Amino acid sequence: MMQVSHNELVVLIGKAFTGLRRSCGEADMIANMVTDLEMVGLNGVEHFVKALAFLQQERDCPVDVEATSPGLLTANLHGCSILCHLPTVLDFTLEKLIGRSSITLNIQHCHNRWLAFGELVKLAAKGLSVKATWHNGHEPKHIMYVLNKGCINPELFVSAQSATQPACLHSLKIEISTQPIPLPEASEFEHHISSQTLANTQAQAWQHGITVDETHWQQIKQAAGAILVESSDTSRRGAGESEPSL
Amino acid sequence: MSPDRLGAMHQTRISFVRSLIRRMANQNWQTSQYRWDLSEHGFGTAIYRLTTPEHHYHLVVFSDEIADDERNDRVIAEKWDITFALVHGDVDDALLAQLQSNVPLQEAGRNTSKVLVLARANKSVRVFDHLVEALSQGQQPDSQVLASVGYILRTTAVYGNGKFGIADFEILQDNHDFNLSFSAQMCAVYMLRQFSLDWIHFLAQQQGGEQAIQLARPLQRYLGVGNATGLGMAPYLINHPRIVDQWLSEREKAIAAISNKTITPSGCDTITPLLQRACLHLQQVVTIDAHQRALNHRAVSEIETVISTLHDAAKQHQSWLQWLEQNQSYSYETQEIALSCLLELYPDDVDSFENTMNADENLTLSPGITVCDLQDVLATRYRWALDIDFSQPENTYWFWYRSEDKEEPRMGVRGQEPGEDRELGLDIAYQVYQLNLALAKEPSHSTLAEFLLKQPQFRSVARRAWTLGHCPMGDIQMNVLSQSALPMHLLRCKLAMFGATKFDPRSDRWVRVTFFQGAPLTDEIHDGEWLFPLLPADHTDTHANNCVDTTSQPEDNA
Repeated sequence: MMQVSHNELVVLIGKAFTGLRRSCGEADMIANMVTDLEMVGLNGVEHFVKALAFLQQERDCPVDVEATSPGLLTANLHGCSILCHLPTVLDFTLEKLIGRSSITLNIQHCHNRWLAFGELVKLAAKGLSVKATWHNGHEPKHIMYVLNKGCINPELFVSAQSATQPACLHSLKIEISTQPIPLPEASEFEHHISSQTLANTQAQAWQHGITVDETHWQQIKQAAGAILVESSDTSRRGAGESEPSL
Repeated sequence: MSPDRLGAMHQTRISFVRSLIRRMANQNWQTSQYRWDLSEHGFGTAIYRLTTPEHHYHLVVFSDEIADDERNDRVIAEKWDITFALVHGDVDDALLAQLQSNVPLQEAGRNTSKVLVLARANKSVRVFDHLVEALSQGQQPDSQVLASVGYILRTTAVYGNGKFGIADFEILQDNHDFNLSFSAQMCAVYMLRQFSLDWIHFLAQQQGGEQAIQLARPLQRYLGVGNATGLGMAPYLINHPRIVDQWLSEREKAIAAISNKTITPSGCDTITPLLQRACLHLQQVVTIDAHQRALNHRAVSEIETVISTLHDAAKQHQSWLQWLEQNQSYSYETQEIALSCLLELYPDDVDSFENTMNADENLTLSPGITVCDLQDVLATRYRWALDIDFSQPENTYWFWYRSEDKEEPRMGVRGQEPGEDRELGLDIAYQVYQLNLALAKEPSHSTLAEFLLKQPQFRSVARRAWTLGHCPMGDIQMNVLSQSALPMHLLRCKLAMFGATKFDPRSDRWVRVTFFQGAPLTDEIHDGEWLFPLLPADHTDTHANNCVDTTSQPEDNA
């Protein structure tokens, strides 16, 4: 394990994504989505490392968003990562929230749902309440978090309850409201991670650095190397001539 | 703001070095030599302690022997004469050992969040050797040798904000010593200046024994810390546009806060010696760059004219704004010098702007924006980009990339050099141009969110253009792909905001400057004025030993 700083992680992830040469997805946004999740101790780096191989292969195509009913949008990400599309889909969703008190966004055929965290936290900072819920094929099988407006971190709930339909394993449901969203009954979930716990982890990470697996760090660093150009005498001159020291 | 004006900026009293020294003086910060463990040849470890009202810090300096041919200012260097770190709190043996193993490695080392600043410096061999030799023989140095360089040590990188494991700037937000942008870095450089003086005194003593003398204090004050800055600073500015906007907006607000004041005879009497001092400073600047020499020469002659018009302006009860407008017929260098001098007159109105230099860096969109709204922003705030003819090869001549050599930013000629496929996204003008073309194909009443859903590749530049389009100063108006682009302008802007003086371009992508030249020494820190440093007329130890008496007489705000 090794300690890295917030800025260091943001910069490296930004470079790693840039190295993929994708046209969909914004390196600075993605870097912050990963780092925000890592800062609260929810394994943002590990999720990103897993995503890297798939991000390389994804097709750069726009997502389809459909107004299924008033107050309900369905987005089809065609098997892509939410990293590359969530900001644009959320922009569109917020547009549709104008004049309403709430809206639900169902994102289907998507990956890396944990990494939505940072973007949803931003909505709470804008005065909106957010609830995100999804199912996994592995533990924890059901995740929900609620961020009421103004909250810096969510209340996170997890359980081993399996999805009722296989399609749910690649879907993410996000409810956005101008009103507070009630927290679920604690009995519905096996584990509750409080916003205070997340905030404490975050504060520790700022003060003492973020602990990351060195192997993960090296994998991201290797991906970031894709932006670099081999050096030559000509390229060395491209930085400005080096002159003798005074 | 136009690149040419950015490329003519000078230090002002809200530049970061000035803010730092004011804070050090106002809060009575104390520095002292804490440990001096150097060999007779000057190699080893030195530690300085800094005590502020709420905290204490240590500057840990490592001096290593390197061969002359290993001394390189570029980021690709792997050895330096001096490496150093500014550490928050105490340095015990374990931490010192850790620093000793990592700080000399710089980018190749790892540090902890106790380290606020990580940096390195090379010596000016000419000045260093001359000083040690002269002082060891009991003689003061040839001041012209000092004037031609202006420093003993030249930093080649000063890292903050989380680089290589050190503390993020974010955690300094509640630290009242270093919560302003770059203040920790500036402080580390200021303390390094004291080390550089102690270092040559130590070596002169080692060589000359009882015969050795100390450098005259006026000459000590005259020596700052050099800095060699290359292309790397340009991508920083382009990638942090809101920082640039904030710095320049606050500067403009400071100017606006005083420019409607009436020119008084007293104001003329205060600004005149400052302008004269600027002339003398420019005459003393030694630069190998013929263009910069010509600019300095022209500014000197223009400033003399500017001075001659001042008393008439006062008699006519003109405002400083009118005076600044009249100055627009002169070169940017002259205009910027006049601004720097004017800001000195009103510290009570100006100095508070130093506290609002930190920027919110977010680039955001908000609901309700239509395609037409963004088109309007582009038409009004990005006309400079929309008017570029990108079908002309000279407008896309360069591409920027990072080299495998320690990720050094470089420029390559498009179509001739390898690396275009890994081009850095610094082509803001071109991206804006493309965005505008794409928007033109959309119904103007449709929402931007709908457009970006279909064409997500434009979201990044749309965020930037929308945000900067609503910022007071806006985006940097430079097409960095253009054959005629001068990255030097960007370097100069940032260095001036830091408070650099003595701009000495070494090429169109490389500049040497000096920090803290003329600043008070660590045992006499005071809120004095040291705009446009001058070579002391003599070596006697008085504060009023400059060629021109520039003792600040703040203008009566009434």
